[in-house]
This record gives sequence, C-alpha cells and structure tokens, in this order.
Amino acid sequence: MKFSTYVAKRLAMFIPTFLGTIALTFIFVRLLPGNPARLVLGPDATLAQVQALTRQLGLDKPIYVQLLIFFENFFHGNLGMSIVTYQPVSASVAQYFPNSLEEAIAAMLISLAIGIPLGIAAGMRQNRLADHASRVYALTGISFPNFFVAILLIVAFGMWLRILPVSGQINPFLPLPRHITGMVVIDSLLTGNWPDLYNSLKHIILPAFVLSLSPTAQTVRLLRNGIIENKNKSFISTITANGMSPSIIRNKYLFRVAFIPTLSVLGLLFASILSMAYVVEMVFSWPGLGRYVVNSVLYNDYNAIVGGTIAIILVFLVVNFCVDLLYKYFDPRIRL
Amino acid sequence: MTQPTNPQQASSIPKKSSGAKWIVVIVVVAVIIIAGVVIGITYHSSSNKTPTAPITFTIGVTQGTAHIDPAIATDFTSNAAVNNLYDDLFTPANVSGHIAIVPNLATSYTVSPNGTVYTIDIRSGVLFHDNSTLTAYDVAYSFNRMLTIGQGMSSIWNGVITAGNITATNNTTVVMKLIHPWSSFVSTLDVMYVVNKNLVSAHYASGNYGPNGDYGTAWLAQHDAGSGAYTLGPYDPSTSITFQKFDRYWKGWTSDQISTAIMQTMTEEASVQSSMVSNAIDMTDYTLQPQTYNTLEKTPGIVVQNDSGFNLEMILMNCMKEPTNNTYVRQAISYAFDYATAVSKIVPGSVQAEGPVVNSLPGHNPNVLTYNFNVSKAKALLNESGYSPAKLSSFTLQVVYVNSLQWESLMAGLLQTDLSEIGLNVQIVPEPWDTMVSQTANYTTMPNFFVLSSTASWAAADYYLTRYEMKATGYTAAMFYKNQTLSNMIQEAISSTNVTQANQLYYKIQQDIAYAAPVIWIDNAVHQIAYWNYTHGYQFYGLLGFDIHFYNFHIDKTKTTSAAVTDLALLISESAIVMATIKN
Repeated sequence: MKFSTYVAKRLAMFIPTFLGTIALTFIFVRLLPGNPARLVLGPDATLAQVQALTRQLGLDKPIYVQLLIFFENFFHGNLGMSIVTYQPVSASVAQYFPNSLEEAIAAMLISLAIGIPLGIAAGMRQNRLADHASRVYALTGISFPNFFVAILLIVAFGMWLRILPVSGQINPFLPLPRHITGMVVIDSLLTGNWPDLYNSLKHIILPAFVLSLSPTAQTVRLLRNGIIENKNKSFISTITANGMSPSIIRNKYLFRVAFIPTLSVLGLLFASILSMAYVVEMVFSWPGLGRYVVNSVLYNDYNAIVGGTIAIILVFLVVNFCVDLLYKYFDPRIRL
Repeated sequence: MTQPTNPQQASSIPKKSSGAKWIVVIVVVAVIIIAGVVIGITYHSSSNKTPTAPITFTIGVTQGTAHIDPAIATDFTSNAAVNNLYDDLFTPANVSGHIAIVPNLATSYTVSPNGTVYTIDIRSGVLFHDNSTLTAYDVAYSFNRMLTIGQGMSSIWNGVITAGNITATNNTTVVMKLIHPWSSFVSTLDVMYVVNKNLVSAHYASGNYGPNGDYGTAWLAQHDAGSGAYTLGPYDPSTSITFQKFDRYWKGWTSDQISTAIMQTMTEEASVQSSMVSNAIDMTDYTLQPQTYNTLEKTPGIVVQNDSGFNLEMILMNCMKEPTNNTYVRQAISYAFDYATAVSKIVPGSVQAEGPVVNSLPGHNPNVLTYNFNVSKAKALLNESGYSPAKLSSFTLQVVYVNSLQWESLMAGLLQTDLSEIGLNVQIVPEPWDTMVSQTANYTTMPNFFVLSSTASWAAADYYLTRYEMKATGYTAAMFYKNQTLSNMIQEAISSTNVTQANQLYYKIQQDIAYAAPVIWIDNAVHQIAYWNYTHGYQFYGLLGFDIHFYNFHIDKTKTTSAAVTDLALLISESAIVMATIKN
C-alpha cells in the first residue's frame, strides 16, 4: 500500500471517529442529572422562570433535534454560547487551550530533564543506588495521585517555605504580556517582558512538576530497560574495544538506541498529560481547558462541556494520527 | 534507690552540656542576625513606600465569578462583583448594631395610602463610570430590564411587580406600581442595581427580548456600566476579576482605601490557606471548612471574624403524607432530634435555630416556641398521636438530601438515629438537587423529610414566613402546610405599611407555625471569614456578597503586624523550641 493511500485511509477513519465522539459526548452530557436552567437561575427561581430559560436554551427539544442544530452550528465554526458566562464557547476554548498546552509542554520538558539522566543512570548502574533511587522515584510518580502530591507541594512551598506561588498562572496585579501565542511564559519571553516571565515561570513550576511525575516515571523505566537491553550488545563491545571513551559510547550510541521506545510513546504521553491536566488545574487554579470543562460540568453548562471536550478529543486524535504516520514512515512492516 | 554512677558517664555529662551551651549561643546569635536582617528588610521596604502609594488588596475565593451583569448574578462571587461595580437603590448598613436597609442611590421615598405605589427620589450628582450622569430614567430602565430578563435576583419580585410598572417622571423621581402591597418591598431594593441605560442600549445584540434584542446581556457579561466605587479591570470568569478605583465616585475617597482589588479564584482550600498564611492574599471568603479557619486564627496577624448569618438549616416534613401529617407526630419528631449534636458536631460554630425565622433577622420573635432534645416528651406526644407503636414502626419515612453535601448527609444520619429511639424507621435517600426539587412538585412525590439550607435574600422576617402561605409553591414550601387562618395573617402582615403592626403579626405567626412544627429548624450557620489585621471596616450584613464591599475597607499596614514581623515571631518561637529541646 502506498504511503499516500495509507494517509488517505487514516484520514477517512479520523473524520467519522471525530464526529462520532462529539455526538456521543453531546448525548451523554444531556443524560447528566439536573437541569442547567435551574442551576443557572439559582435556588429561588420559580418553575416558570426555569421553564422559560429551558425553552430559551432550546433544551425542551428532543435530543436528536438539539444534536442536528449543534452540528449545523459546528460546521459553521460555532460551538454555541456558554449558559453560565454568556460567552461564545469557541472563544473560551481558544483562550484556555494555550494555557493547558503551555502547562503540558512545561511538564514534558521537566519529565525529559529528570527522566533522561535518571533513566541512563539507572540503566548504567543496574541494581545499585542510582537504580534503586530511580525505582523509588518512578513508583512514587506512578502510584501517588496527582492531587495528593499537589497538596503536599502547596503546603511545603506555599505555607512553609513560601518561595513559590500556589495558585493561578501569573500574579493578577501584573499586566499580561501582549497576546501572541496565548501562552504567558512564551509571550512574555517573545515580548521581552521580564517581570511577567519571572513571575509566570514561578507559577508554572509546581503544576508542571506534578503533571510531569507520571511521564517521568515512564520515561525512566523505559530508558533504563533500553540501556540494560543494549549495553552488552556486540556493537557496544566493538566500539568499546576500539577505545572510544565511555561517555561518548553512552551518550552518542547507547542512548540513541535505548531512547527509541521512549520516543515512540512521548506523543501519547503528551496527549495524556493534556487530557489528565484537569486535576492539577483545579488544585492550582490554573486557567486551563481541563478546569474550564470541570467547572462547566458543575453547572451543567452543556455547550461548554462539549466544546472543551471536542478540543481534547481533537488533540488525542491528531496525536494518534501523527504517531500512526510516523510508525508507518519509520517501520515499513506496518505497510504490509 | 539511686543507681550507682558510672565515672565515665559522669565525666561525659559536663562535656555534652558545654557543647549544648555553644549550640545555644550559636542559635541565639543566628536568631539575632536573622532578626536584624528581617527588620532591616521590613524597614527598607516600608521606607521606600510613599504615603500616597496605591493600596492593593486580594481576596481568595473558592469559586469563579460567573456573572457581572446585575440582572443575571445570583451566587456569592457574582453578587460581590456586582456590589462593587454598581450602586443599589437601597443598601444594607449597620445601624446601632443591627442590620438595616438604608437609602443609597435613593434619598427618600413615599408610599401611597393603599401601599401599592412607591415614589422614590433619586440622588443627584452621581456619575457613571463613563462620566455621564445617573438619572431616574436609568433606574426605571434597570428595574424593567431585570424583570424582563427574569433571571438573577428577580424572583424576589415575582407576583409583586411586573416589567413596565416602573416609570421615571423626571430626572430624580421614579414611580413603582406594585400588584399588591408588600411591607418588605424597600428591603428588597438592595439588589436593585442601576445600569447606564444609554451605554447598555448602545450594545444590544440580537436576542429574545423583542426590540431590546438581548438587552445587552452579552456585552454586560464582559463590561460594566455602573456607577459603583470600582470600575472593571481585567476579568476572567474562572480566574480572577480586578476592580479599579473610580476616582469620581460620589461618596469620595480617603487615602487608606483600596485602589485596586482582586478577587482571585482558588479552588483548592489548601491553596487559600497557604496563600493566606504567607500573606499572598489579604482575605479569604466564607466557604472554607471550620478547621481551616481555626488553623488560620492561630497565625499571628490573621483575624477570623465570626458572625451569625441569615442562613437557616432545617428538615422539612411533608404535612400531607402519613404519619407526618399528624401534628403530634411532627412535634414528637421535633423533640426527638438532637440539636446539640447537630450544632456542635455537624455544623460547629452555628447556633440552634429558634423557630421559623433566622435568629438575627429583623422581625424574629425571640420568645418563639423552641424545641429541644427530649426523648420522653417525644414518646409521650407519639402516644397522643392516635397511632399505635406497631403502626408507626410500619412506616418507612424517607429523608432526602443533596448527595454532594456532607453536612446534609450527616443531618439525615442523625435524624435516622434519633427517630429510631422513638420507634420510627427512616430511610436515607441521597439525590441530586434537581431531582429533589422535582420531587417537591406535589405532596405525593415529596418524601416525608427534605433537608434544606436557605439563606434570606432580603433582610426581613417575611422571607421565611411566606412559604407557609396557602398559595406558596416551590421547594421551600414543600412541607405543604395548609392553614387558611395563618395564611390570612401572613397576607395581612406583608401587606401592612405599618412596621410595628407587621412585626406584632410576625411574632404571632412564628409562634403558630412553631406549634404546628411543619419543619425541624436546626441551626443558623455561622459565617466565618479570615483577613489580615491591617484590614479595617469589614462588615457582615447577612446577605450574599454584600460583605465584600471593598469601598468599606480601610487598610493600615503601619500599626499592625506585618508578614515580616509575623515571620520574625514564628522564627523566634521556633528557635525557642529548638533551644529548649537542646537544653533537655
């Protein structure tokens, strides 16, 4: 099968999967208990007021009619209005998504910065102190719930040491940098706004670190196993016998081979960081997409839930699509 | 008997003691040096501040500010935001230790002899944030807009006044025509905020309100059109909202008032606590757990203010369903409930409720019949009920509560335990709030018990009494208590324009309702809030969001404990503990 045919086939599968998941989300959201009109109007609203708002929002129509209306708007680039904030959902998604992306990128960088040296050290010094320490770190990262670690860090760095902010993305008294990417750290760097850069970096450390725990653990374990698997292979013995320095062997040859399995899961790890960020975003009041969706669920803000979920679904599908294409490109056996 | 002393051990003791002394000396010197540095930094930073430096203030709130449109806002943060951006016609104030509703944009008012026409004089010289003048036409427009949209706090006026019945006769006079007289009408005008008619109508989009389009709802969701003490700064519903001082505010300013205030959303309680202790924020909201306030109170410099709120926590009883349709049974249940446990263990800090009206609300009858935990009396009343013990135990009485609220689940559990003592079986049914509300549509679907918390929307006794009228509907009236005589009396009281006469009737009404026991009135929850001690002027009014009125706050950081001094105090106390440990 030609590569272009393969791409076209995957693309053809991508579209119905995307629309199907949107339809399912749309229906499931409407099966949630509770009437959003009641939640918006507050406890003292009369039944007549609730019914009036229900009609106004079109929630009195059958679900399939609502779905058709939604898709009609969706294909015109309209995700509807939030019933809580009265703002277009697409604008809110566009506002919050870069914040989540920024946090996920920071988490990924931290996880690579910690995971790679720790994984190499663990693999090179198998069953020694470095290996045991990396195992403890990996186990902790995998097994401790994010919210628990987040609260511990809030107490440690916010209450005891008082060196890092524990809430939000930037000090609200600072004017935001000029909007370029929507990511505060990047924008403040691009605009040379150093106070914003310093402050936003301080804000991103804790949430990004918590988000990085699980991917770091996976990076460490995969890299360690790759190093152990390859360090006694003949090509390493050959270049060692040729007198090449151990650091060059480790960094240039062994690491490259051992890192391939890790590289193949990095895309999925990134997507999973993005989709699981809502817990960390809630705890650290990070204004990301996950937090937006969670708050929308609390208010049964149907359009906002569907809009936010669409963005997350899209990221997952795009990443999977890209990973599939990369696999196909690098491994010709998949074409068979 | 004394142990023989080991000469080696004995000789080693003075050595250890000498080492410890040195450590003590080092620690003391270190403390002095650090203290010097801290004081130096504090002095340096304070001396750098000019006397006219703008005052900033941050309050950490656990929910976002969803709405800033006065016609839409209902929750705490939204009400607080609106209260700072807009001026209300009347406003709550502390008058001689009691909460009263006093004129604000209104200066005075008269009522027609039949109590249905209110003529209100509007203050002159008030400017909107765009520097245009506020007039009576803006007031009429705002009230009509609120009633037409039919959201936010407008449910207060259902059946009392309709859109179109508020007119301005000139720049300073508004006439409001009520459907029927209502003695508390003026008390409700504290949530009647005035928007800039010209500004809002210039931003209409297409919508559901005929020629008024969307009535400016989309625009007002992101902008302000008020005359309040503060203008809207950067605003994100889920993150933070910034308020900037409006220099031309009609009440004027003093140098110790806040220039820029921020309500910062912090969903995690630990974040609020740590930010408060580290002085990253200046104030918390009222939604934290009691133990968090206890912890905060122990931090030097942090004040926790406790107030009795206008909140009534209760369990409604279905008065049209067996066996709670029997007055003796309801009274027995009221005596069987352990109020002391509820108040001390489930909602610590609260006070036991006295009758159907919140204890601190104007019009509350302090001598009303109050039920106390008395199992023998409860059993005696059950014997008089006409039901045999066997018949009573054959009923399964359902208590329904909001499944996500822990305190309600504990109340339901307590009711189940207490009623088992008098032979009644209670089944606990957690439900989502909306399901609970739908169950209250009629008495056949309404369970025997319904756990409810209710906060007064206006500061008058009738807020809690009108739910006992014959015509009352909705979940607050879900006890389905029907008594024509009582209903007439309530109508007479709320229609009265004579406050003394109305209060006398309210007292009698409360006594009659308490005797009939359609509700287990459990407690009035305490309202707690924490702030740093340099904050002065905080005033709790009982009404949702009104206490976060930044204009009332005066900040004086020079006379009180600063964060640095607190750090120093903590450092010294911790060092003392270290030294004591070493000595021992």
